[in-house]
Amino acid sequence: MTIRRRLLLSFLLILVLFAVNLVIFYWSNQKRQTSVEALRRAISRQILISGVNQNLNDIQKQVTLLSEITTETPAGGDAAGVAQFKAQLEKVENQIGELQSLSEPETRKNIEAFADAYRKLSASWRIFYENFGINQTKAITELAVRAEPLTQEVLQTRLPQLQADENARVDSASVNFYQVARLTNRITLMIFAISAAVAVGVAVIVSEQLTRGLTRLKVGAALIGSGDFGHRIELTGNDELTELAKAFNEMSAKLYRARHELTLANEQERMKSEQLETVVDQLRKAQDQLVVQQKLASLGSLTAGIAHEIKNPLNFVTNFSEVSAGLVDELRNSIKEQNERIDPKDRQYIEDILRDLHQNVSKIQEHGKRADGIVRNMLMHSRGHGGERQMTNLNPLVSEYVKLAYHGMRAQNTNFNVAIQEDLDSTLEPVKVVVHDISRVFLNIANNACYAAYEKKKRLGDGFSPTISVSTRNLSSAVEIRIKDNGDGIPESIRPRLFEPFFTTKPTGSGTGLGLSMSYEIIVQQHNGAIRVESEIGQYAEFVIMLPKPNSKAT
Amino acid sequence: MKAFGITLIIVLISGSIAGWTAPAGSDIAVVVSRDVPIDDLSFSELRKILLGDRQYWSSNLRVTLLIRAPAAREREVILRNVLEMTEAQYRQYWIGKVFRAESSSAPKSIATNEMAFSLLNSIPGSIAFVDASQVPKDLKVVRLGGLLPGAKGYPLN
Repeated sequence: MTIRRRLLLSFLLILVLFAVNLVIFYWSNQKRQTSVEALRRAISRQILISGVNQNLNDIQKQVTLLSEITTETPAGGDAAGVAQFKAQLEKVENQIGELQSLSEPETRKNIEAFADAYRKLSASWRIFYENFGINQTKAITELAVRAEPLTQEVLQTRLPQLQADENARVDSASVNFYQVARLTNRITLMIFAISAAVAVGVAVIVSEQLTRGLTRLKVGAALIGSGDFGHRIELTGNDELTELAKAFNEMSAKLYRARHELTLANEQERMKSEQLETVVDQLRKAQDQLVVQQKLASLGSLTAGIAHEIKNPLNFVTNFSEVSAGLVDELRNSIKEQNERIDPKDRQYIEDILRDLHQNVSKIQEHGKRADGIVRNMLMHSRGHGGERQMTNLNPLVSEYVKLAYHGMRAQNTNFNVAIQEDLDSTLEPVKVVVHDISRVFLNIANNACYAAYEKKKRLGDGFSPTISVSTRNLSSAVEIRIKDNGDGIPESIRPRLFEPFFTTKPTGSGTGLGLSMSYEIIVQQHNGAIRVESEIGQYAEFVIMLPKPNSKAT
Repeated sequence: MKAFGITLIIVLISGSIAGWTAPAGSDIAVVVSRDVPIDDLSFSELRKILLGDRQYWSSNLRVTLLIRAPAAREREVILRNVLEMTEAQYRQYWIGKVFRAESSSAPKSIATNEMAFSLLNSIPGSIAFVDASQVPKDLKVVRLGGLLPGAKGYPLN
């Protein structure tokens, strides 16, 4: 049922109740008026009967006392007296007539009988009065024989009966009046109370239904407004609130679909954005690689030229320094053979010179070889890398070369010591690599790690335990190798330059600055892998190498 | 009420209009109509009848009291010997009785004994007091205390 119809019916119901109250009010009023009218008529009859009684008693007394008079003149002395007497009788007769008109059907018979008796009495009294003083005998006879029995009948039988009847009727009317008043008051109050209760009940029911519906709509609208588009407002019936709830639900469903579509569109946009970012990142990396490659190519060409030019004179230096060292040894042997012929002072002087000369030649030879090594590295860098790739399990390889780096450092410095921790993934799949080149990468990084850890140990002393951690992970499309030291870490500012050729933080003569540069080339360019560094100043530095699996797409 | 007042005045002054009176010396007979079922009355019963205290001879026969008008000897004897009242007291008594509605009828005042005889014949249950010497033979004379008029000790004399 619609709210409009519900309210209309409620209004009509209240109107009906109002009409019922009005009907009850008019019915009560009518009943009270009827009872009052009955009471008034009964009282009027009672008053009339009292009046009749009074007048009859007066006449009777008048007649009775008159009967004691002996006179020769008419009653009252003249015709006026007779007329007055008749007027009295007529007055009573009129009262009786009025009483008859007011009489109820059930008492009419008694009143008729009374009126009939009175008419006889009245006729007898008339005869008495008309003959009184004229025909005294007839008058007294009439009075004694007819009037007095009739008087007794009228005054002592009929009239008391009427009075009793009317008294009872007045009492009955009075009781009826109060009963009607009580009854109508009760019915009026009861109908009013029922009407009020029904009106209140209807008001409560209608308002409760409206409030419940509006509350559900309010809660539902709040939920939908807060984004819960899946919420549905549950309202049964076919009123306006239900229609409104349906409209809300449809709106919610449409909003839900729209949001879903928007989410999908956003997701697509995000994926496109990510793809673009990936592409941009790849482009940037490619650009960086290109720059690096160009730089390295330039450097390679430069260093190749320089190395080539230096190589020949350096060969002369090293070769002739070796030859010179041999010559010094031969000279010393020759001098020993000519020892007796040389003045001891001179011999000593010559031996000192030869020793110094041998030392100088040895230094020339040593540094010549060092320079030769540098030049060879430069030539190797510039020439690039090569070799046959083969499926290799990297776990033993990295373990071996880290330990090799450790022992190499320890061979140079007996005080050097670090702890090596290994966490190698036993499920690591073999990858296709150039073993020689990858080994150099592991060795370079492990050398740097040992160096960094040992430098920190030298600085902090016994309170610090240098540690190198080696770990491998078998990822979905690549294998991961991590080599970590707990040295001082790498400052953020120099990280971008780590893989540049000749960039080194070591003291002059301790490093060439080509190790990480070569490692970058080997990993990234030769094996299509990736290498990055993670570090926290004062805590650690960790190099992460990613090598693609044979069946995976190169990173 | 006005008419009643006039009537009352008439009644009060009617005493001065006395009619014929019985000669002194003869007894006053108590005469009743033939249908009265009593032959003998006691003095007290007579007094009750005269005072209106007894209004029925029998259940359906009313007493109609016929008394001579004031100044008549019969009335005077009755008032004096039976009621021991003066005329004024007797009138006052009956006015009061009528006004108190103690009686629906009062003594009928009659002017002559002939009128009394006539009424005795026409009114059932009527009783009258007349000179015993004038009572016709067809009328019923009631003994008073067992005595008829003329008897020694008869009280109405």
